[in-house]
Amino acid sequence: MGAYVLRRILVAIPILFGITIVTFFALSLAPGDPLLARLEPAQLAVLQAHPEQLAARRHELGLDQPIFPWIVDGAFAPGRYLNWLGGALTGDLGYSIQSHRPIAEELGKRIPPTLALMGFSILIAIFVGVPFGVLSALRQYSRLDYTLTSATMLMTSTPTFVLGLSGIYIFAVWIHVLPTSGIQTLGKPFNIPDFIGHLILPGLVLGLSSAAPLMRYTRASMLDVLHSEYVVTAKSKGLAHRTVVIRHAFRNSLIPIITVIGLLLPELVGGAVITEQIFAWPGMGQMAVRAAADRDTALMMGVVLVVGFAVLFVNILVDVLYAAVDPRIRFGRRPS
Amino acid sequence: MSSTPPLIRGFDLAAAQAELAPTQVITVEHVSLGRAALRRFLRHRLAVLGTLMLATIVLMALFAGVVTNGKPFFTDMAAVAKAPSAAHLLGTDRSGRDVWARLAFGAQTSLIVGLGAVALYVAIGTILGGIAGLFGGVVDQVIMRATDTLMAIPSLLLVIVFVTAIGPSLGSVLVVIGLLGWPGACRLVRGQLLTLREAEFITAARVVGVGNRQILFRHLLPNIMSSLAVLATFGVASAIILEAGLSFLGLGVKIPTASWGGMINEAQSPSVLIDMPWLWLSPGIAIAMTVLAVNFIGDGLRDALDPRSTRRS
Repeated sequence: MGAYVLRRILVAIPILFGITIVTFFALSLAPGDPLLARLEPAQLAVLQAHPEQLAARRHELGLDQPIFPWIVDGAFAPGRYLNWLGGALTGDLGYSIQSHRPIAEELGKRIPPTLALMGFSILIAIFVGVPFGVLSALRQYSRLDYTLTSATMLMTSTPTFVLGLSGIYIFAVWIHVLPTSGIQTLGKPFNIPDFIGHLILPGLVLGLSSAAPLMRYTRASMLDVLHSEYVVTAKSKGLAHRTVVIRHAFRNSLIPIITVIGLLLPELVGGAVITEQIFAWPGMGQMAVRAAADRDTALMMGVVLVVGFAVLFVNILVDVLYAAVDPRIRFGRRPS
Repeated sequence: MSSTPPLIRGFDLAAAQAELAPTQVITVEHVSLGRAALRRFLRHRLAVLGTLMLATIVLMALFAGVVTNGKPFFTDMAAVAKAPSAAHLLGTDRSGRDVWARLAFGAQTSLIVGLGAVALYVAIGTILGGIAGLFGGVVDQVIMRATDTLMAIPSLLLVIVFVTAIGPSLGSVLVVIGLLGWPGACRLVRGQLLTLREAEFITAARVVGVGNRQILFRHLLPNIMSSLAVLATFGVASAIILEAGLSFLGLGVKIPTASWGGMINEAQSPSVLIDMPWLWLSPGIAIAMTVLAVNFIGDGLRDALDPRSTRRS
């Protein structure tokens, strides 16, 4: 098991490097001078009148360097990417253009709200998606099955932001029971019940949009198992229906579902970006949109680094869990 | 049924034929694979419904200039933020633009991005997956690691990074989704090639002396095509949602180009959201219906193209 985990981690490390290289390259494709773009007009005029000062500022910020390692004037230049990477490895992610604060500090503030939102959403997705999926499979082709399947189709086809806006509309216009924006009531000290109240609506929106695909997979997985030979055997040797469904079918159908929950994570991050924007939830997603709008390269790199790390970490976790529940994997055989 | 002869031992063929001949005429109808698939597709009620829905949307996009006032950019200062009326079927936005006209022209944006981007990435994915699957070795390793890398970044985030870098517009959204969306198709083609290479009918073809070229184009590709068609169909649905999301965030297709996501972008302000629901409700429904139609078609295609799959959805 230890060797298995280690192998998964060793595969993930180059992927994490790959993610930062791709993103860094993309961000440096942006036209225009990142230095000039963020100066006030008065400052800009001064700097443009004194090219040597401009060059000094550019040198100071490392903007005169190539993106990737290269030979400049016969000398080796590590390039902006390696400079960034060196900083990142020592915990220095640079400064945000807009707020002028260290990015590590900004990220630190943004991670907990996003974790809370995503954790809550995953719980909703599991507690809605899995039971309904099982129910749908047990009553295949019943009216309940058709209703649930159609609802799933409609949910997967509705973008998160349409769902979110509809939610806000309903709760802001018709029923005033839940707050529709922010993370806490303004002007009041932070307290847990208030926070949970604010969490419910965005969490429901994000959770239900992930519950739909999860239900679909659970249904398919459960049907596969229900048609398998060992379930038929269990039934024919006279075991109670309950026992067969719970002990034989459901437990085995969970194995592929674990993978699906892992695969849904990147989707969930995408959904979080939009959900946070709609509900003014002060998390990483909102910060990513702000970084893109402000062309805040260093901030964007920070977001991508954290998200990439989280996705890979969860993937490894899922693989390990999968191996733990399915002995065929641990012994190097793929499940059929 | 007492006269029925025993199945194998002592089976009297002549007697059986004599018994059957006058009453039953056995006709064998030759059904081509394509025709059989079409039949299965048409039997899938939701798929037919989806096709009709999508056809309506395509017609709306094609004849956007005819079915509306044809002026999606025109700002009528006399009719700003008006609720639906006879003059403006779906109302007007805060700049006095006709919502119905923007909706119809927005369909063009969604369909162009959806179909264009998917066509681009299916082509890239097929080529890369083909190279990886056929050559194997180091090339395969490099391509697969690139695939893993792109798949580990949430697609919305990745697309945001690239589109903001090269400047948001309809073209850049299309190209970026097209250039970054290939990993799924690549994995599929590679996986299918590796599986099919070991399949018995390929061995059989080799044994009777069929050449490499012929095996690739006559046996491997047609078999991959059906899975690829299903992947592409669902891909169109995701691409439409992705474009809408990007434009909704204000990072995609730019005003004045009409885009459903862009129209909903205005609803981020509470006054529009609550007081002018016609501004975001109609594009919201349009996106959901288009994506639903495409998903129905995808489901139907999956059932129709893979005769082995038992219908379970």
